[in-house]
Amino acid sequence: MLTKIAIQHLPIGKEKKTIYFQIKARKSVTNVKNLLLGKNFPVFLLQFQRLFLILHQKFTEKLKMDIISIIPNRIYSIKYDDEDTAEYYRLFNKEWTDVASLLEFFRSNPEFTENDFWGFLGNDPEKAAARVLEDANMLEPHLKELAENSDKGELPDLEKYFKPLNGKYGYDIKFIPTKGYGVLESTFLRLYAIRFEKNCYLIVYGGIKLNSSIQNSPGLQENVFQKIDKVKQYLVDEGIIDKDDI
Amino acid sequence: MAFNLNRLKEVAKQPSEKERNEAKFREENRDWLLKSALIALEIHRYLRQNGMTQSQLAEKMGISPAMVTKLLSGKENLSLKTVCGIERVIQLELLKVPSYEKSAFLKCDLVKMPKEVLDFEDGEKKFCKIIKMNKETETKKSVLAV
Repeated sequence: MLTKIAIQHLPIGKEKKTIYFQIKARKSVTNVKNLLLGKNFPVFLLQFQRLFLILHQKFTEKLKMDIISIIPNRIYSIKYDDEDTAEYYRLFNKEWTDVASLLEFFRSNPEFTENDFWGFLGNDPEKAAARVLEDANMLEPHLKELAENSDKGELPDLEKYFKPLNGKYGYDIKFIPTKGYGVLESTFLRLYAIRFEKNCYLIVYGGIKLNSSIQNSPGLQENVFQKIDKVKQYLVDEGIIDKDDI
Repeated sequence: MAFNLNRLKEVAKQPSEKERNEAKFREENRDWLLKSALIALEIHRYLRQNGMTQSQLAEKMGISPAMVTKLLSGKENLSLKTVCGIERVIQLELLKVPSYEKSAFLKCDLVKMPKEVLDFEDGEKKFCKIIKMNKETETKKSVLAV
């Protein structure tokens, strides 16, 4: 029997949230709920108690990441706890500029040449990698120039570069994550950022977009929305976003 | 949504020394770093298309396997000697000097070439061969004249 239960009002940072469990058990909903709340129950059900404790720990733990200032007052970047460098530097120093990483990526995703958009590159991972290298090589000084223009009140500035990220966040008028492209006409590069105010952005993630949607792009599909949501929670935890605004 | 920017400035950290140094290095060496990476990609393509290993390439070029690894990383500041060595092995011109190319073309006496050489089936590669042959002939002639 599949039993769906809800444990409500668990402390999550300063918030109260609801966690749903879907478990297979012969016990009634009340019994399982009591078990998860720490009552004495048979040994074979202790696994659920462990699961509960792990999830409880996971949800009550404060998210670990840092904000790194890349270009003062203009571009910030998240540094995730499981990475040894800030996201901005990970992209410009490794993912987009390391020959071996690029070739591994394009060789392990050969289907990108089958779609209409990238078909013109032919079945040539080296050509695709060269395109990323060239693009990234120009994008970094371009961002610096846009930030300088933002300081001087000239155009184009960072507002012209970052565009609202539609889709999942399309209806959220308060919290608008954004995306930025490479400088080439047809570009693989994407930067995902949260806009703090005019010409002030926090880079959350970036990568190579192989398909028309994030959901179909390896590397992006399992990261972009997840990271944006995590960073949003982190900003609330750190008091950068007022929790009442969420 | 109201962002607390003062709190942001309190929380934000400076990049590590390593990150700062790497960014500075990229900024100061951007042009040759890109060329080195593009040359590395040409070598990678050559290895893939010819089913060749890095150690075979090292043997063919007369350099150490460690040097080949460096070349393939795309972060090596290559000397002209190394670039010419790569060009010789992969039979591709990596470093182009436009005026040199033009003068070589003008000197090329296509009429005197045998018919089979003038057949442009392979496009550029064969054309390069013609230029090379012509240059060799001219060198021999000049040596004889002396």
